[in-house]
Amino acid sequence: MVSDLSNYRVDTIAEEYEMDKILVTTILRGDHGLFAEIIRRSESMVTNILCNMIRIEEDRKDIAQEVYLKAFKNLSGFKHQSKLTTWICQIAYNTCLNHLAKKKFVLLDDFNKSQESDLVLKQDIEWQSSSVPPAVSNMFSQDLSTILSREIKRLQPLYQTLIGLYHQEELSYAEIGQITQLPEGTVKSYLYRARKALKENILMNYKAEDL
Amino acid sequence: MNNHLTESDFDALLHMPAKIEPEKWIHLSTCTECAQHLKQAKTIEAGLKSLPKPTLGFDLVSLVMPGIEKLQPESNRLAIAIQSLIWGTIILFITSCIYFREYFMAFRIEMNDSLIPVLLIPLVFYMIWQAIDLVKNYLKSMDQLNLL
Repeated sequence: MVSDLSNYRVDTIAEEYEMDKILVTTILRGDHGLFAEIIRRSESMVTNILCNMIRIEEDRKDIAQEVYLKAFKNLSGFKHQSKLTTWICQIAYNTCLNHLAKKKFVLLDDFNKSQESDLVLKQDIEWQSSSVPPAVSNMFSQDLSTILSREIKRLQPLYQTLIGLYHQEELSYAEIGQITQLPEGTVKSYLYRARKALKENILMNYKAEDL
Repeated sequence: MNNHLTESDFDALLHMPAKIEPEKWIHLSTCTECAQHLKQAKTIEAGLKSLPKPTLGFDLVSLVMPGIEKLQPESNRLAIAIQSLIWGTIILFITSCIYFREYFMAFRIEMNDSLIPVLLIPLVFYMIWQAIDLVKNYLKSMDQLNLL
């Protein structure tokens, strides 16, 4: 039964690729209901990308819908060169980029200059348009999780996205590279910058004992 | 001389410890300042891993699926169109052959009774092959799904 697919667990990458093939083939043959399974599989990662790149909640809804409609329409173009979830995340990332470009938001101000960047960091520029007020509470200890969440939101959208995909979704550098179309070295470099900026902000705004 | 570990050293310690030179490990074991620094880095790292995942505040499946049900993937539509065209042409050709058989004979075109089956047989075989292929693919997909 087709519905059995939702209960099927994939343990290895090979199994995941095989599962992707079955899902895509079955959907292309007309079982559109099975697309819900693809949504469930990619939901967490797409949510992470949307929440980190798009500030306005109402926009996220439209973009989420756009992402999956694009994925569905172009499902036949999926070449199985990556995991299906990675491909959908790539669509989500590009859709968010287009949205940010329309709104004239800057994803990362030195984005184009840093394609060949190494691990040497000159400066980390705080995302000026952040809607989150700077953390001023260094008077008392706070939950680390709260501190981190607040400080991550003050990072630039690309840094936030990379942190989300690497630390929360536990994707590899290669997978993040596929999603963001950045070389693996650049992903590592940006992640390093993001963590460094995060740590500096935390140490600047909170007592060391908070950590 | 300041031998303290750099930010990139601490980052490497957490993510690529194999790349750290032995002298840096030795320094780390003797320097309380660097050890404290590493502890902070580890705390942040652990905190990042344990952060709650963000939520959208709505159910993606129920948001997207109604729109999906109205659509068909591009290839599906294209495949249906191509299949229809192929089958239409085949049927038209066979009907024409049968219908204009007398006409062909009357004009003594180099076509006789034996030529029509020669033309038809490959077409019939092609149709049977297509039908078998369709059934085979269907059974394969069902088989795969049942195995799951």
